[in-house]
Amino acid sequence: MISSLPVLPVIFPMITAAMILLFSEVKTRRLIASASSVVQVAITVMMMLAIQTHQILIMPMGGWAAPFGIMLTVDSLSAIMVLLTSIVSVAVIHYSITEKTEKQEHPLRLPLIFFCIAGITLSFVTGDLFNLFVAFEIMLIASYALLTLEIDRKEISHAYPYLAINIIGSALFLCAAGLTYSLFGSLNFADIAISSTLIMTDPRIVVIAVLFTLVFGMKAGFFPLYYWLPNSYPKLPAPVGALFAALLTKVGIYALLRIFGTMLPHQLWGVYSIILLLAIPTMILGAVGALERQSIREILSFNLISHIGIMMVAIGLFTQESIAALIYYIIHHVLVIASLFLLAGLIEARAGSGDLKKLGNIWKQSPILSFLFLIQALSLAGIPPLSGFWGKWMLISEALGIGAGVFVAIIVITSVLSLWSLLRIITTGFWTSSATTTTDSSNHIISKDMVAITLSLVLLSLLIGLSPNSVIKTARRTSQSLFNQFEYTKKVMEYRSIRTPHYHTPKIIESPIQISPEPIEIQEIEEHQG
Amino acid sequence: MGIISKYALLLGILLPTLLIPFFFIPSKSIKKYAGLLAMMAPLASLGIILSIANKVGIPQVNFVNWIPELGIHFSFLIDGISLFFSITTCMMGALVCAYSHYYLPKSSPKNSRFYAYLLFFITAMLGTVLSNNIGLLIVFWELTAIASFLLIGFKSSKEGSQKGALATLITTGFTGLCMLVGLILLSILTGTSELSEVLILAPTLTQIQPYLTTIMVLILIGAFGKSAQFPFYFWLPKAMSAPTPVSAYLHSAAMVKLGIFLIARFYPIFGGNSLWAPILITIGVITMVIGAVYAVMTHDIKELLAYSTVSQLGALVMSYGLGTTYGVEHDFYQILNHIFYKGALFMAAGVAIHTFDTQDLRKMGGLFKFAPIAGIAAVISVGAMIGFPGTTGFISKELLLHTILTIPTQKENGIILAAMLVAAIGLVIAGIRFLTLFFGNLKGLSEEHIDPPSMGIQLPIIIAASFSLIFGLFPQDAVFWCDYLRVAGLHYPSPASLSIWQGITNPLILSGGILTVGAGISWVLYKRKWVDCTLPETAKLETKFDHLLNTIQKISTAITAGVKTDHSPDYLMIILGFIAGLLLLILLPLFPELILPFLFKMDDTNTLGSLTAILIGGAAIATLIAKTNINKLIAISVVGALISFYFLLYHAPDLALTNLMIEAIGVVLMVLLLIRLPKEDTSQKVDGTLRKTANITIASTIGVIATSLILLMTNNQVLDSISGYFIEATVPLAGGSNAVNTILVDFRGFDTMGEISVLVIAAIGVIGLLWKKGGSINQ
Repeated sequence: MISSLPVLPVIFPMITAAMILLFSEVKTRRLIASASSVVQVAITVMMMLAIQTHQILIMPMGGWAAPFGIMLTVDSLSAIMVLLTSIVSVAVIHYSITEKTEKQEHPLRLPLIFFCIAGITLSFVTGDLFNLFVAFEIMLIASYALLTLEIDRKEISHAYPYLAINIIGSALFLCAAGLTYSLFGSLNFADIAISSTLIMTDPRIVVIAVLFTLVFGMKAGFFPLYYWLPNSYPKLPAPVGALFAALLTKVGIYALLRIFGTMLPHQLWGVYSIILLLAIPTMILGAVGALERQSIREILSFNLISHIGIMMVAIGLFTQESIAALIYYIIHHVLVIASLFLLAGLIEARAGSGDLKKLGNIWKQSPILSFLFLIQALSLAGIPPLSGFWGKWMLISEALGIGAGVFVAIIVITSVLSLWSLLRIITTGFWTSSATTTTDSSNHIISKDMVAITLSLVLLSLLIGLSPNSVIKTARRTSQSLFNQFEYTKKVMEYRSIRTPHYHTPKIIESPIQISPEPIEIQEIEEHQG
Repeated sequence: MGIISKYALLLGILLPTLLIPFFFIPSKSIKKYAGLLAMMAPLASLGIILSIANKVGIPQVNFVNWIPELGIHFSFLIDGISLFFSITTCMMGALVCAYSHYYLPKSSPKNSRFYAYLLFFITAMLGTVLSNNIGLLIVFWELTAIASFLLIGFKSSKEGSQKGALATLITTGFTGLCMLVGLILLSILTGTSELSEVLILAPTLTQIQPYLTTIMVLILIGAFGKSAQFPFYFWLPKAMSAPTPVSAYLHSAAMVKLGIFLIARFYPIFGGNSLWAPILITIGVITMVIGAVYAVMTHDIKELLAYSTVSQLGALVMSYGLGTTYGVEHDFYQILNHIFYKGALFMAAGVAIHTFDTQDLRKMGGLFKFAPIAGIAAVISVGAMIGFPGTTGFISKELLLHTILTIPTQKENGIILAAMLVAAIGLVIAGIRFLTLFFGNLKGLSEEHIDPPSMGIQLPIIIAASFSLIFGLFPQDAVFWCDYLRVAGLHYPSPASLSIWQGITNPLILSGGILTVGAGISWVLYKRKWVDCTLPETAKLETKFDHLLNTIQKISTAITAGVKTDHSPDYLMIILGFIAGLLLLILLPLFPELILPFLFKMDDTNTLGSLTAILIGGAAIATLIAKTNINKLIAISVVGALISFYFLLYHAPDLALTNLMIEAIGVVLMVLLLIRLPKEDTSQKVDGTLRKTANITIASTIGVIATSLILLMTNNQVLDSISGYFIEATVPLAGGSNAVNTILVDFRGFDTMGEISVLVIAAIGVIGLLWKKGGSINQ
């Protein structure tokens, strides 16, 4: 069972999607979707538990061991991401099921969501660079389809930049993967990690690293590659928007962590400082954009960008503690942003619009929804003792500890702007009594189930906020294992499968890969970069 | 310590919040007595806290684990400072709950929400003052801001409430974050986040000293933001849109004192710093004068009180700045003075606002007849505000004047004294003005229309006011209690005694002078019907803050428009340009030889290959030059066909075949698209050349970079590639003679499976789009 565990969360949604396509009865389709998403959570919880005892789960696809075949490799980071994915999916799918009546439901939405989940999950569990590309393709093609599926004909032009930019991204990814293969002669993360220690001083590694920064930066929404995001996410149906906002950008962040943490050597300070420098405009422009926008989900999308900036700071500092902060922050952010998109969807359904100028009286009409929204918005802005605060606390502590005060200052400014932009939704949106929209409640019934689903996500993130110790502990342990590259490569390369050729001897690892030396001061990094 | 007493303090602090659900029980009797029930919560909390303090003695630390990973715990320090602020918080809290009971409209469904916020605030406040852990302090500190946000926005549909709530949270949020950074630095440098340890360690550790001033400034920003000091004071007048009980509590007695609390808490660390006194005195003096002047220059009763609060807070900050290395004296007495009289005045103002239904002092007057108890309370409290003998205010002012007069003569001495006099006179005028609402003729309403305030609403006011009188007449009692709460490092080892009559001294003469001058000016202003007291809106920092917010939003709009987030064709170019630029920036310094790519050793001397390559290049350039779309398309397909040919040259027929197929499909699709596209409109050609040049530059740069990258990566390969293995193993292990095929379907069959699903999904997506066109989604 455990030996095939890594592939289950990938295959399972795919089979589900195919099954949903086969059945025409809406009730059956919904039952399959619902059951499957719950089982998926069970699978990923099992994976998380298995990681506690086995550290790394490996599955050679088709029996071909590294470096020749594709090895699905699940470490603690992968398991966390996969678990988060399944939690968000179960909420999104149930919300999607309860959102529409059986007649209104678009028959292709659920299968596409499952395909998208399969792609996301594959990118978290794969241990192979080209397979990661395939995972991205599955995820992206499903996301294109979802984006254009239910969009208004008038607004279909908003899908164009998403498509165009992601196609550029895919092309760039393919180039980067090809170039990596020609340099290292391999596609397996662990194998490349060993090879890269042999040519540690080769400047071509820096070029590869920059290429991947661009590829995944485009996916995550780095400045100035983020343009596609805030214009397309608000156009999606609420549950799909929640799925995209919570997970698609995080796939980019995860992939960067994988490349920099597992695949490449840990001393690429020049590349890290590029990420740090790009983090500044990402944080500020995201927050500034959020101030200017006038509808709930647009404001949320721009906040997402500015929080990507904060995650970039964590990657750029590249210390064990900053990566731990990042992992904690990802866990928090996935849950909070998903619940906020769902809440925004509920409020829009209730009020008939997400435009701040048209909203009104929400505070009185739906006190529970607006209160939940307030809590999650405060959490997103990083107000204690909600979950967003602890990640910021860890990051600020670490940045101060290594003397990166500039970034602390910018994080502080960004947080205030972010808080402001989010509270504007409450004060000028929810509190105002002069609503211009029709508040004919008979048209906009939101079911209790939808509220309950959203509530459970809110409660989960509230729980993390009030009792973050175990999550922080997990994040720190994960970061520690990520920094222990040697352990990962050793486990992967020494894995024997039935079809491992007898005449193949694995590369001998003579010395453990060096762990990064004492953190270098920021000034030095910038000088080095200049 | 038993398990119960271990959690008792935490329970005591959380008690008010834990009682919140109780108020949402749909029971009539709970709704009816909500305020009086709420009053019990702070009293119960106070009882718990005091009994713990009494049992174990002070100072003591009470510790419960919370987040060991971050060193943040429910660790509480019970000492003089925290006890003093807990007592005042709980007592004023109880009074305000009782007052709210009569103030709020009976049986309004919103009431339970009001008490929920208020009780939540009490927990946050108690938590803040009792925290012994830096993280915990910040948590509760921010919670007070959230409670304040909700309470200011309680009358949520009013624009003033919305703006006030937002301004408060943004300001205190920003300053709170500055404090957070300062506190984290302090905790990093001392290696502990327990305040009791930090306070002991910080003065002794040498590695802290270079950072101490930075930390101090950051923490002081937090204190100034919360205590409405210049330049952050503007949020306090804006916060006056809260219901009056909230103003009486949060914005005069409790939350705004947190900055003072913070200053007192960190006095032992920073008191000796050379910048401590200058910063506190400068900010305090400016705030004190601005507050007093603005308090005179307004007609709004709550604004008057808000500005006088600002002024008093300034005076408190200043008095901490005037302290010596031995500490300060009687600071608790001065804080007590302000809490009681200002709380009473706000509550009295609430009664007046209720009765007259306006906040304009010019439209109010003659209330005494209908609310005599509140009137007496107001007289006592104004007495304290202006420093009339017999009240706490008198002694408080004497103390302050005494301190200023006894500091060693310096240049600044005169300035401080002058500012103090101006501020004191201003407060006298404002205080007298406040009393006009009780005396004189009844204004605005006829006698029969007036709804006399109930007894219950006046009772809390007189209770609060009576403290001003009792401690004013018997200051030694207050000193006794304050002495019990003395904190080492903050206070003088033994306090001087206080008495009303200390003989004819300089402070007494000055006090008398202040009262006389103030009364004189008030008389003149009163005769002129206070017409001079109008301040232009533009002179207020509040307006400036609104302008600032507007400006930031305008800048935001400009920036977002500038970076073209809304115009798609442009940002494709920006993105490609960025990719090209960044890669060039990295490549050129690392590999200068890339400028001359022919320096690379070419193993390949195949003339046919070279010729094909040149042809491909030519066709690519042709796509750039071609004028019409059809010509461009032809050029592109030539490139594709030639690439397939190139593959053939290298004995890769399957690749060539695949490529040719894709090219063919691509061309057909593009032709289909071209047919459907509208004819090129002429408007595009206006800036066509510029755009075209940019496009060509970016496209060719990317081409050059891609080529150089391939040359770079394939040149000088030092590592073994796995590709040899596949050829070696294809027959014995995969059972197929074509390595490409075995890679696709066996070695890396999983990838192929993924790609097949991509095709399936693409097909589904296309079906979705076609459905949309048909307009029906039924199967």
